[in-house]
Amino acid sequence: MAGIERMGKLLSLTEIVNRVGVWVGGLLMFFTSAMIAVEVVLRKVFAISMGGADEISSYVLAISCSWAFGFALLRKAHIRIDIFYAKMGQRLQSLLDLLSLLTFLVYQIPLVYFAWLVVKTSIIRNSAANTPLHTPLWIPQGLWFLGLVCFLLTTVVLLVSSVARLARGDLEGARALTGPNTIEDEIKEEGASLPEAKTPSDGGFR
Amino acid sequence: KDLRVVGSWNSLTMFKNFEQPFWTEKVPAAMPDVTVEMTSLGQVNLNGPAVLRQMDMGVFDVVHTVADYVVADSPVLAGLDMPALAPEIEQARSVVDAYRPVVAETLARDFNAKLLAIAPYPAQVIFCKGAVAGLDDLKGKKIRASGWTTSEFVTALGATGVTMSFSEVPQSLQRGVVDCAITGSLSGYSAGWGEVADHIYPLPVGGWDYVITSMSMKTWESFSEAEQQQLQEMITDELETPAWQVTAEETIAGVDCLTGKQCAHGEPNNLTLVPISDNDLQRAQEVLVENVLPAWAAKVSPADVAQWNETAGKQANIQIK
Amino acid sequence: MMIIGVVLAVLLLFLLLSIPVAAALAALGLSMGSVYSPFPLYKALGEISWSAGTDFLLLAIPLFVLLGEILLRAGIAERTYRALFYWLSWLPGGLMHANVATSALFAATSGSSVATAATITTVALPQARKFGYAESLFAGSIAAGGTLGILIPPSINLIVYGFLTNTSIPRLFLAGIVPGITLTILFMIGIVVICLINPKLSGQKVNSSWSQRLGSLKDLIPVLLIFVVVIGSIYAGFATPTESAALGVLAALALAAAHRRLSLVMLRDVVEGTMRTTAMIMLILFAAYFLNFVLASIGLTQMLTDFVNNLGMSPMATMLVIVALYMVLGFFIETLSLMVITIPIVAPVVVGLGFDPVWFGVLLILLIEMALITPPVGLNLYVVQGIRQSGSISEVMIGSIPFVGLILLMIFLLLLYPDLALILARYVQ
Ligand code: NA
Ligand code: NA
Repeated sequence: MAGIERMGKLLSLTEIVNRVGVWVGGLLMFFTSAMIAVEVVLRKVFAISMGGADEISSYVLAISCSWAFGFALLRKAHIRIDIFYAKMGQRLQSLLDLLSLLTFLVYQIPLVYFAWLVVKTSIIRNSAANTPLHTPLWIPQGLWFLGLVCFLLTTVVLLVSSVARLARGDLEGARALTGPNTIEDEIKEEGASLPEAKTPSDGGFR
Repeated sequence: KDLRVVGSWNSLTMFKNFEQPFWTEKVPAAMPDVTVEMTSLGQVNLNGPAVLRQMDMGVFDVVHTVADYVVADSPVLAGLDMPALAPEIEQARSVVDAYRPVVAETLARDFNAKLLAIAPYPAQVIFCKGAVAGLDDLKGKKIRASGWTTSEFVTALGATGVTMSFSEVPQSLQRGVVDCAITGSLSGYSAGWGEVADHIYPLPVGGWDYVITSMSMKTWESFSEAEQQQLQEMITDELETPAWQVTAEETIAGVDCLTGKQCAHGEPNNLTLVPISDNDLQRAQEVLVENVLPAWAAKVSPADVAQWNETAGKQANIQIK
Repeated sequence: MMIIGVVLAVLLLFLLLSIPVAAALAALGLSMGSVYSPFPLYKALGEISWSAGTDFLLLAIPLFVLLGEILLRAGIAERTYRALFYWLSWLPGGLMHANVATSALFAATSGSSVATAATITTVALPQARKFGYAESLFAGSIAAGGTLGILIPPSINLIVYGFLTNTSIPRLFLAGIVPGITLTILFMIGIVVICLINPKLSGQKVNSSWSQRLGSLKDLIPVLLIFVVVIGSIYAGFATPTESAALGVLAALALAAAHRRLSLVMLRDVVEGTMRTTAMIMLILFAAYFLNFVLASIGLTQMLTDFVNNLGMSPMATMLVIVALYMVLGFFIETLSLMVITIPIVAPVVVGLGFDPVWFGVLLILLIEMALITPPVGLNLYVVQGIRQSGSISEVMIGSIPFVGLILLMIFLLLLYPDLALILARYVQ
């Protein structure tokens, strides 16, 4: 029983870390929009440039994406084509769910390793962007790399939890973690807080 | 032996007329046991120094890339291509020859790579929409410049350096997002800049954009000494030297096409060619000595600075204090 | 040709096993690279991902998603719908025109056709029931209308196409406008004709007063404002597409504030929705980018181009084969995946045949629009059905058939008159 509890804690920790990652990423997106807008106005109206708005934004893009991959995995947003899957029995479906995560690992492990080499090389060479900002590249690359690590760990946690649930015979529980996104899930995600979605009433018509 | 070669930009003469025929025809003909797979910078989509980093990891054997892209990893290389350091191509050649040992040493140290050749793209000149009569008129203008040394240079002139991708430039010029932009004369003509700009100022403010050819040291050492010598001679005679000649021609041909003279590449445009006055040359050198070079010197070691003064600086009659 | 067969077979296997598309593409790239190349191509995975991940152009994708999320959660789609209803209710087919027109207007600002279809279904369906519309055609008009968004700029799909083929985004955006508007009009004409032939499909007539119409005009302002900010800033020369997206985000925030819909909860939902969609799109793009690197490196891209050239078919005949191929693939493959898998291979072939890459981008988007509403894999069908929660999915599918026909008609128009796409694009460059 202690094992189940620990697993649950690990899962909620994963959820928290990923959500915080996504919030920070989202805030950075707003910040980026504002920065770009200021840059556009300054350039057009006053013919001056802060310089580097595009450079900083592109780092933000890489970093906020890498920190959002794991969140998307938790929300089952990574597209799977389920024509064949839908026709399978539940046991085979569970197997395919595990295979999906394993294939993700096949992608992630080399990705994380070679992303680390990118960061490492930049640290060793003391690399700085060939721009007026001279950004030390290891900083954005390091943050990007950490996001990829978080993605990898999220996959591992999901895999372990899912295997644990399967071992207990909890097929439904495993599917809740790693099954594909059904269209109902998707609508719930899209529409959960659409203003009038909860009360499909008259919509203000007279 | 199978060689994987990354050429420079595959739409430009350097690739089409030199790199590709050299590696896919001449080398296999001269060295029967060598086969070549050729690709280009645009196809591998690796930005900045990444393509050389990958060669170091064994993904490629030979890489042609622009020195400016590698500056992020090896700031010493920026010394090769300072803005307006060498207004004429003969001067550029002597600067390159003098600085070549430094480049070779840097590539070997940072990327475990053997330097094979250095050849320029046509001079990186300024295209403007709206009249300019000389350097001082650039004050207050928004100029698309790539590379920090060029940015530093235009900033010192009182202009604003703007970074944007090459493909965005024509529209941005047309709509006034930028007033001026810098690229090679012929590539600017080919990309249609001549249809939106109306003035061209032929001082190489963006330098010459040198393409550096290098081979992974591991691959280089797998050749026998005789083969190494043969390969190096072939590259120098059949790739590097003719590339310098063609660039000299293209720099002029590009300007001709842009300014309504005889044009072998298509319909000529009608840009005004702004003459470079002696005053401007002097001013350019001042900016270089007082703004750009000190900024560069702060990023490299004193030994690198001394080396630059000995080699490139001596050729251009400029010294960093 | 062996290699092409192996690559296709492995990819198909991965997809049939319901492996996430991003993982499937990357695993395919890694395995093909180690089998068919003597070079350690996998070692480029890190640098390629960093290079693609920091592409300023791609920043437009999350920003447009963000813009769309803000507008939806600020309730702006419903107001737009109501206003268009007042204006279009006199036409045969009444409410269905509001479906199509709202989709067209709204889609022109938001990037996601799913979100658009979901919102409009939620708002429109109660009205359809109240006024007694035949639900089949009504649902079809929503599903089909939702696809307009990826053709009328701004469009995330066009950005993806531009990114993968190095085509100018501003030109692609311009090229989408005329076909997008034409298709919208075709949809509306189709509805009128169908409802004139069979008036039972239309609901009871609702006559709106001029005071209602004029009073609703203010509700059209937000969508138009966003459109002007985003598209206007590009063509007035203020901004690149990415910069215009950033301006759009700020404008949408301002609109949400003006409608008093800004709250921490709302912003949290916006951010989570945006990052979820963004991560999904970007991971597929990055994986596809690496796969393309491998496929080009092992010579597959070149092989296919040579193969097509050696067939000796006329360019137009080849193009028809390509169109047919996309229609078939579009039945089965999710659209974003379809795009990233095929574009890098097909676009060079098409350009090699002498077609304009901008024109082909628009044609491809039309094919993608069709794929969104053809069974068995047609995302918009399922979204509409998912919100309906009554009746059967086949009703939605049947109701979509006329619109599939109209998209097909548009495709033929574009094949016959390439200028439909190119006439505006010519003004740039
Ligand atoms: Na759109
Ligand atoms: Na479909």
